[in-house]
Amino acid sequence: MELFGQLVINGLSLGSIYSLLGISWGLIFAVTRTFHFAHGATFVVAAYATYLGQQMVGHLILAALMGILGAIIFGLAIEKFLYQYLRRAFATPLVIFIAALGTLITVENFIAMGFGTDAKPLVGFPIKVIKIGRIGFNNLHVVMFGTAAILLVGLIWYLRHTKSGKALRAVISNPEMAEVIGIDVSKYFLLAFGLGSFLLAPAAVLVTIERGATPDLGHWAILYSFMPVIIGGIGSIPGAALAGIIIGLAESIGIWKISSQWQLGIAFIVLVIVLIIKPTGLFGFRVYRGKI
Amino acid sequence: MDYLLHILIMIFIYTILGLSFNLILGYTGLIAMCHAAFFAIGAYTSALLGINWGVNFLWGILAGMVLTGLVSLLVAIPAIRVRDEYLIVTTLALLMIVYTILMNWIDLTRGAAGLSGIPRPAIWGYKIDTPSSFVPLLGAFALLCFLICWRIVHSPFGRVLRAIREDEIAAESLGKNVRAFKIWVFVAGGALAAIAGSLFAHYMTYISPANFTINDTILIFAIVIIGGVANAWGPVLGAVILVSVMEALRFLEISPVIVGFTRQIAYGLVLILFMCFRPHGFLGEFVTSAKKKEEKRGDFFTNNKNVWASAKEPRKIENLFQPANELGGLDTILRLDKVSKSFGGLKAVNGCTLDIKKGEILGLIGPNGAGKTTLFNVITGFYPPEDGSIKFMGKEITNLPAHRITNLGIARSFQDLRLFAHLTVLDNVLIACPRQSGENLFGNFFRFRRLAKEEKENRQKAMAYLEFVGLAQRADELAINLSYAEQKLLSLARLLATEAQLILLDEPASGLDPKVMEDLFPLVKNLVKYGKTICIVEHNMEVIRAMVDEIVFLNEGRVIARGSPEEIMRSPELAEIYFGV
Repeated sequence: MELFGQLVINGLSLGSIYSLLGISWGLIFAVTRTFHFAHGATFVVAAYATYLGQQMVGHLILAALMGILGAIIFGLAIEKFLYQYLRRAFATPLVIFIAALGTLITVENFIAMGFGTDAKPLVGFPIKVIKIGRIGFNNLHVVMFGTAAILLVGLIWYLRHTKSGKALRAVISNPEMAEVIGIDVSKYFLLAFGLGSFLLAPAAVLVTIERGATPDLGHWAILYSFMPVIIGGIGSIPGAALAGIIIGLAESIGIWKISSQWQLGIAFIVLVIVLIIKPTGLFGFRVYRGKI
Repeated sequence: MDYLLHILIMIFIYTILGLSFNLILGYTGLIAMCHAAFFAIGAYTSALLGINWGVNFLWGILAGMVLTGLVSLLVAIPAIRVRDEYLIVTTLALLMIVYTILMNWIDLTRGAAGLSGIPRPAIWGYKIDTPSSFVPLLGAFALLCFLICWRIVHSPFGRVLRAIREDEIAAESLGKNVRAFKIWVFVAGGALAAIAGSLFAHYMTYISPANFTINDTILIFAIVIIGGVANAWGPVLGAVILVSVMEALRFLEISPVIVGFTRQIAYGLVLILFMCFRPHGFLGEFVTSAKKKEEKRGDFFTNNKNVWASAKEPRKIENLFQPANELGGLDTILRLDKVSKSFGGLKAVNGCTLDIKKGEILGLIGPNGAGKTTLFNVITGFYPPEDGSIKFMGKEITNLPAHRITNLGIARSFQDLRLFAHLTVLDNVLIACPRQSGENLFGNFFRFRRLAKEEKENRQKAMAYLEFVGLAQRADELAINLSYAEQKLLSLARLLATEAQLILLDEPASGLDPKVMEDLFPLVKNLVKYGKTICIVEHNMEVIRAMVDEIVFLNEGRVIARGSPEEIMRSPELAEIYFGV
C-alpha cells in the first residue's frame, strides 16, 4: 500500500508536467489551429536558456526567469516570422507542419552542436525528502504540482475574466466571427503563442532540475504535449490538464508491474483506448473533420 | 570504386524509402512520423530470421512486410478513424516505442549493441556479398518498388488518393470510403519501407537502434520534399541529392559528431526553406506527366470521335443513363420520418417528415437557416441524425456512412462545389464512376487486361458526361482553371457520373448568369426522363417555378407546407415567413 501511495505521488508530479505541456500546446492549437510541432523546440530553448542563465548569473530563480523569457521570445518569433509568413502564402496545414518539424530538428541539433548531448544539470534546488507516514516524496514534486495547479487556475481565470482572455475564447470558438466583430485575429494568434510558450517554460525548468537538459527532450516534449490534448479533447483546457494527470498516474502506477522503460507504451495504450472509446476525447465536444 | 557502388546502393535504399513515404505524404497528404520505425521493423525482422534460423532473405523481406503491415494497422486505425492529425501523434509514439523496444528488449534485439553477423543474401545458391553484386539486386528491388508505386498512383486507387488530398468530404460524397483508402495506403507505404529495411540489414550485415531514430524519419521527409511531393520521380531525385550530400560531408575535415549534427541541421533547414519558398519541391506534381498524358488522351479519343460526335445527339444520353428501372408499386424513393438534428441548442432539423416520389423534381425552399442544407447533410450521411429514420427505396439508411449512401444511389452537390481543384476535369468525373475494380489496391496488380478495359470504358463514360454538360473540350484542363459557370457544370457532370438515382442539388443556380441557366436547366429537367429523381434547394424563385413539379416549404427544421409551385407562392403566410416581413 505504501508503494501504491508512493506511485500515486510520483504520478501526480509527472502528470503535472504533462498537464503543463498539454495546456500550453492545447491553447496554441485551439486558438490558431496550427499543429505547432516546434513547441518541442521552445521547450529545449527554455531548458538551455535556463542552464545558460545559471552559468551566467548563478541564481536559479533568475535563471528560470531567463528561461521563461527565452521561451516566450522564441515562441513569438516562430509565429511572427515563420507561421505568419506561411499563412500569408496560403500554405496548407501540411506545409506549415513540415516547416515546424524542420524547425524542431534544426533547433535541437544546433543546441546539440553548441552544448553537446550530455545532460546539463541545474543546481541550487535544495531537494528535501518529506515523509507522510511511510510515504516519502520530495519538495520538487510539490513544486511541480503547485506550479501546474497555479498556472492552470491562472489561465482559466485569465480566459474567463479579462478582456483579452475573453477575446481569445472568441477566437477559439469561431475565428471568422471573431474577425467580423472587430477582433484582430493575428494579434491574438501572437498572444496565444506568447502565452503557450510562457506556460511551457516552467515545465522545461522543472524537468531540467529533475533530470538535466538534453537536446532530444524536444521531441519527447512535443509527444507529451499532444497526448493530453487529444485524450482531454481539443479545445478543453481543463480536459488537457486532467488528461495530463491521468497519463502521469497511468505511467507511474504501470511501473508497479512493468519496467519503467515501457512508460511510453503505457501512455500510448491509454491514448489508443481513449481514441477507440471516446474519439472526441474525455471532454471534447466536437470532432473537426473539415467543414461541410 | 567500391565506395561509389556503396553510394549507389544507399541511393537505392533511400529511393525505396522515399517512394513509399511519398505514397503516404505526397499523394494522400497524411503526415506520419514513423517511417524510420517501419524501416527498423523490416530490418530487424529479416535480420533476426536470418541470424537465428538461417531463413532466406526473400522470406525475411516478406515477413518484415507482413509484420510492418500489422503494426501500421495498429497505429492507423484508431487515429484515422477520428482525425488525420491524430496520426502524427500515434506514429510519433510508435517511432519512439519501436526505438525503446530495440534498445531494451536485450534478449531479442541485443539492445544498443545492435545485431551483427546478419547473413548475406543468397539467391539460388548464389551468394551476394560484394558491392558489385549488390547493385543489381538492390537496383532490381528499387525498380520493382518504383513500378509498384507508379502502378498505384496511376490507377483509379491513386486517383482517389489525390482526390482525398484535395477534398476528402467531396471524395466521401462520391461514394469513396475515405478512411479505408487512407488506411490501405498507409499500410502499403509501411510494407514497402520494410523491404528497404530488410535489404539494408542484409547489405550492412550490422544494424543498431541508432540507424532508426527520428533523424531518419526526417531524412525521409527531406527526400520526399526536395524531390517534389506527389511526383513519381521526386523521391528518386531526392535520394540522389541527399545521399550524395550526406556522403560528401564525410570528406570534410571535421569530427564525425559535428558532421552528424550538421547533417540534421541541413535537413531541418531544407524542410523549412523548401516549405517557405518551394513547397512543391524541385519537380512539381505535374511536370513529368502532363505532356505525355495529353498525347495519350489525344489519340485515345480521336479513335472514338465518331462514337461521341456531338453533345446534342440524343442516342448518347440514352446510352449513358440506364433506362428507369421499374420498382413495382414503390413510388416513394425517399422517406424521412421525424428526423432531427441539432447543433448545441439549435435544432437545425426538427422532426422533419418528408416523402420524395420517384421521378419528380422537388423544390426545397425556406428562409435562411430553415435547415435545408442540414437536411441534405443528414440524408447523405454527413451528419447522422439524432432521431427519426430515413428510408431509401424501402431500405433503412439512417446511420450508414456517407459513402455507402452514395453507393446506394443518393448523390448530392455542394453549394461551394468542392471540386478537386488540382485534378483534371476528366479525372474529376472519372473519380465519381462507381464500382471501379481498380480502386482496390491489390486488384491493380492482377488481370491488367480487364482493368485497362474497364478504365477505357469509364473514360468514355466520363467523356460522355462531360459532353452532356458541354465541357468535353476542356477535359485536360485542371479544374481550378475553369470559370465559375464551367466549374458548376463540372460538378453536375461529376454528380451524374455517380449514377445515383436520387440527386440532391444545393443551390444549382447561385452565381450563374441567366444565359448559362437557360442552357443548364433543360438538361437537368431532362434527367427525370432517364429515371432520376431530383431534389433542389434554391433561393431563386424563377428557377424554382421553371423547374420543379412540387415545392416543400421548410421552416425551423420542419415541413410546414407542400404543394404545387403556384399554391405555395400564392400563400401570403408563407411569403411572410420567407421574406421575414
